[in-house]
Amino acid sequence: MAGRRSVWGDERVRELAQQFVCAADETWRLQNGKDAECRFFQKIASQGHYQAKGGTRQGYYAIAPNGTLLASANSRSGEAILAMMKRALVAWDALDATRHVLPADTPFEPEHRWEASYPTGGLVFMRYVRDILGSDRRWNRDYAWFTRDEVKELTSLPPRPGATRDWPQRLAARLARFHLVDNVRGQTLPFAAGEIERADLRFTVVRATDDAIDLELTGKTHAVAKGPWLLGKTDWTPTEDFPRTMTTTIFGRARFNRRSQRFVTFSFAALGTRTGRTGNDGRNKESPEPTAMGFAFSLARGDVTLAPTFLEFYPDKWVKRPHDLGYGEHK
Amino acid sequence: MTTTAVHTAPADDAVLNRATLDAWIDRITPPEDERIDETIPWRTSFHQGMAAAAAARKPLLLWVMNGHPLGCT
Repeated sequence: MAGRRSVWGDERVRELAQQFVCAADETWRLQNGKDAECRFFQKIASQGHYQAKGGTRQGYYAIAPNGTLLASANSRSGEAILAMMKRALVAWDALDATRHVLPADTPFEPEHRWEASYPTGGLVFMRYVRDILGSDRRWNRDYAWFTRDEVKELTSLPPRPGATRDWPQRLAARLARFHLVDNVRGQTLPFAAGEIERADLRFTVVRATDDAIDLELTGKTHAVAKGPWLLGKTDWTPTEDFPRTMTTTIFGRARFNRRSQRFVTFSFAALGTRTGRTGNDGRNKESPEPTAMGFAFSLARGDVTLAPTFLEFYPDKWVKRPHDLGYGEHK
Repeated sequence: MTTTAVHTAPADDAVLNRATLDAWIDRITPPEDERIDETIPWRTSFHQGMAAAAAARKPLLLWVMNGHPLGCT
């Protein structure tokens, strides 16, 4: 996470990046998956800075469109990534121009990606999370998705001040299970449905016109994981029990355009108290005492279609899963 | 095991309401210079990046992490 700023905060990196097409992706699937996209990546990355069989392939790779690896590195240093990019451009210039294009017979299309479930016309949040006490400035981000039909459910309330609409329990619980989680310092685990002891969210109409409804969101959530993993065998299944809790209070405001049936503004915060930890959340060296966390949700940019980390656990039929498309689980 | 000092007061006393919402959003949302990577015109998958690089006849700069670099890592 620290590399976000240390690398991309370097103006020289951002400037030189204009000579590349920039892409970002999740490496676990790419380095372990079996579809054409994954195999194409594996062939390239196995020539890079990490070559140990079964080891991570995290980092930066400069690649010609025909699959030639130009240079690679994994570093939080802007200087190191800049040097790698310069090496890559030298190698690029030395390549025969035929290598600047993707050969027509090169398969690299994925069989399944979670982005295929992107809820066009729905509600997409960017979510930031951080500790709100103490001096640690780390933070993390993720996305939360609601479909157009779910937006319709959420906003089915009379357009008069004071009218209220309790969120359907399954949508409130989904927020608590997958988005009000402690991944400030790294990846964590979701909560199971049975671990949500409270998820009460309510819209209240503040103002209404022919064009728009202004809403306030209030709510409280409480999740308690006693330890054992309850979500079956997945790539996330931990090897030990992780008891933990998350309790939050929520407030927010939104403007819903009645004509377009879209939210034009929507931001809310959740202030929470967490206890416990998971295997990769970076809390293993901390006091086990409760600590305070804050979550900030706002509308994501329309061009960001990145899937929520725990989309595969959303209990909804609109999520397109690999077996829905006739493929195995190639994560 | 080393224990990192962290202030441990829970958030129960924190006031979150109509008057304080914007301040909390500002406090939780990282400043722009810490999320400057969001200003790069990323393709958000390897295969999209490869296709775009081929179309532009440019090299691809691919950033991969455990957890999507533009999401939760």
